[in-house]
Amino acid sequence: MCLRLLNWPIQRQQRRLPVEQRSRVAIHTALPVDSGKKKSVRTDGTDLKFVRELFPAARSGPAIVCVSDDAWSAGIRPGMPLAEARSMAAPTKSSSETVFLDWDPVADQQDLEAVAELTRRFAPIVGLDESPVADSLLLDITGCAPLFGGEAALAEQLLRRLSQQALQCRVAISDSVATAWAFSHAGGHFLQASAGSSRPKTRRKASAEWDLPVVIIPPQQSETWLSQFPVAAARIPVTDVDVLAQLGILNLGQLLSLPQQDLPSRISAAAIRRLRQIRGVDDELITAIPEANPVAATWVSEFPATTTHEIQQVLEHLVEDIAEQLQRRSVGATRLTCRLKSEDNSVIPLIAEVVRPVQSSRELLDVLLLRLEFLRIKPTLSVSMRATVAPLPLARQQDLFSPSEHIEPTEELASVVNRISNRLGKQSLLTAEFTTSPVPENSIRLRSIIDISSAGGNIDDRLSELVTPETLQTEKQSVFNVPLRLLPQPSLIGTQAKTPMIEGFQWNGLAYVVASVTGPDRIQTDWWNDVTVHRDYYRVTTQSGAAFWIYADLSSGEWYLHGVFD
Amino acid sequence: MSAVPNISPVIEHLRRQLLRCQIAHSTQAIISSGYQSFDQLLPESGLPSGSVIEWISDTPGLRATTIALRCAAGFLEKPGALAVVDSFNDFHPMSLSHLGIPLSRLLLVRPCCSSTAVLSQAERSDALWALEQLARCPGVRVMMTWIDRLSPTAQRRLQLAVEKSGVTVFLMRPATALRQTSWADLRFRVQSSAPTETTSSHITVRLVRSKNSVQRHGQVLLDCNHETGHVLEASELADPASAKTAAC
Repeated sequence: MCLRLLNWPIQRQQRRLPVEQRSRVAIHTALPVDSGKKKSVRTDGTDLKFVRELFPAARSGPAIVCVSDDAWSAGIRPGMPLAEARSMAAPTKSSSETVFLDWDPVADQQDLEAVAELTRRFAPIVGLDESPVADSLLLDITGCAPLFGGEAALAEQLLRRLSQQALQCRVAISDSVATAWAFSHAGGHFLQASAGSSRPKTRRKASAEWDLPVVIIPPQQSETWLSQFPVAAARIPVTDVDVLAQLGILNLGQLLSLPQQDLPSRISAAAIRRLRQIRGVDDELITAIPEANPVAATWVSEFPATTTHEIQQVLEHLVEDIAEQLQRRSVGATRLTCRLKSEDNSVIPLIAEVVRPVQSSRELLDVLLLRLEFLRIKPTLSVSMRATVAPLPLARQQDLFSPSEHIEPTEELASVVNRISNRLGKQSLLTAEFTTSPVPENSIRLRSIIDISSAGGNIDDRLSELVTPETLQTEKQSVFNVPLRLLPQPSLIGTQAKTPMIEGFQWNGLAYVVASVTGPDRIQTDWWNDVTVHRDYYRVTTQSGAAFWIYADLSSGEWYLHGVFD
Repeated sequence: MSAVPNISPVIEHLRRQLLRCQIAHSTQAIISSGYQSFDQLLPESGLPSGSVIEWISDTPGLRATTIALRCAAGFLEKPGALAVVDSFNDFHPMSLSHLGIPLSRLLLVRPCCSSTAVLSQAERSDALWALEQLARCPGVRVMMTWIDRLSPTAQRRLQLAVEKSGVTVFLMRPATALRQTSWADLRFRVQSSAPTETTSSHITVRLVRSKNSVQRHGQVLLDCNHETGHVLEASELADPASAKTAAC
């Protein structure tokens, strides 16, 4: 999700000014930008460079960066030299005097980070937009939407919360950061969008169709809808936008249809990276803003805790403290990170995770103690614990007198998934899905259920699928009968290349005599694959009545036991 | 001398009455196995939910797992997942849909990283721990695992867990388990019957133990179609002697 704060430097300053001065505000660069006294939020000065590229007037003297709507109506435009703007801003009978303020990108960013604290309840990870002059927050809401009753409900509650703080925002939700940013900045960066040469009476709307408070883009739909957007909506550098404009490429539809291999010779590597992100080829990571006031607890003692039992007691005490803080803030924890500092100053990390946000100290302690079992305890002098918070799931009605009748299978399953994954590891809990591979060992893809969230899926949906009865749909089925037990490594049972059919074999220390054979079923994969497979499979029944799946490797002539029809 | 009355119908009648009383007091739901003759063999005319059921296979490859999963499909008509604790990392769910179980219902638990035929003590204890955790979870409907040795304590803990949660546990065990004590509600033995002059080879499922009812033994014959992998009830053949008489 991209949360854009509209005309952010102006909005921020307006909140500080008295009401009568708020309507006509213009922000300008304080001094000639090359004087060295300017403030730069970026260490490499990219914000100043960006402003200078956009507004040539800013290179030689103070220039307007952004203006309020009323100031715009008075004829003041971004990019205008400050002196010219002052001359146009004479107060009239009907309007108040224009307030000119210094541009302060550092304060803009600090206040933006303060706004991020208001959004913590809605997303576990909140980051800052990477643009040179940021006006947006990026929220990773993966898996959070069901907790609010859907993406639209989440966006609505978020906007309501921010409007209570008199913040004007726009929200775009998409399956990638790049497209969410593009839909919330349909005309490109907010300074870029106002840097046009035309001077209409009202502020220019780059794309009125997308000028909505909430935009939710269905998966796979973004590329089609983006095609009409200007090139700047892809967050590519200003110089590249100019180059593309000279080539007649003005919108993303034209740009995305160009052959990818030709682009590096025309535009910069940064622009290529942005295009790959908007195509969905590359993922964009959100760099989280550290919480200003994290949910944390600490225990320090002069005398060390030496036994597991003592550490357990400390953890119990800290978890209760954490749970109390979570209740006070109406959020849940998805992860507890502990640092156990021992007498020799070494730090032992202890991390426990849950698949759904929880507030209960009992559940949190349960998973934490499972992790503790695997630690080699040293005499510990201090323990610090920090919780990664996320919104709580929607509350559901419970029966006071017969709780057993209101068991929710997904909640129960989530609880057992938490315990097993914390003790046995994430890779011990798997779900299966069919693949298109004809090779038996590759025909099923096993994925950790915990990784579903990180892969962009919704773990609640997956848990719900696991427990919900449904009519058996036409799933992909093997063309022939495949055993339920497939050996992880096929077992070599014969090397008689010339023998047409194997008559008996040994496996697991037992000898089997083949009584009947059905087959062969040939599996032959394409030659261009890395590992080619040429096998003839047979279902053999032994004299003891057991059925096995064996194959002759046509390349080597060897016989292998591959499965047991158990 | 008067003929001795045939008492077996009376005993059968009494047995049914006793069983009806037991079922009336039981909170366990009874689920059809999917095989009519198999249901008739069972004391409660189906498999009880919230129970531990052992399937003992004389040798690997007798399709005990296939039969058990076919029975599990009936349980999955109600909410809950199918959890498979696969300690040997060799369960291949490709054929689940053949047995009437959607792949989306499978939660595969692999507690051991290595794929060895013999589990270490630590791996065994992890597998047992996972088994018990899943058996306590009402979000799981049926659970299946392959296990050779199980201490009476572990069995009792498992039994208490399933009684509370309503999960049905299928324990797939080797023939050596016949010599061990069992707390299972039902214990089946899967064997292969040798072909005779008139019959081809069958899979025999024999009820060897039924805990919550009066003692009853019996067996069903099942046939496997090696082409499709389906295990079906063996069709009854006409008695060769009567067939010969009819021909005359």
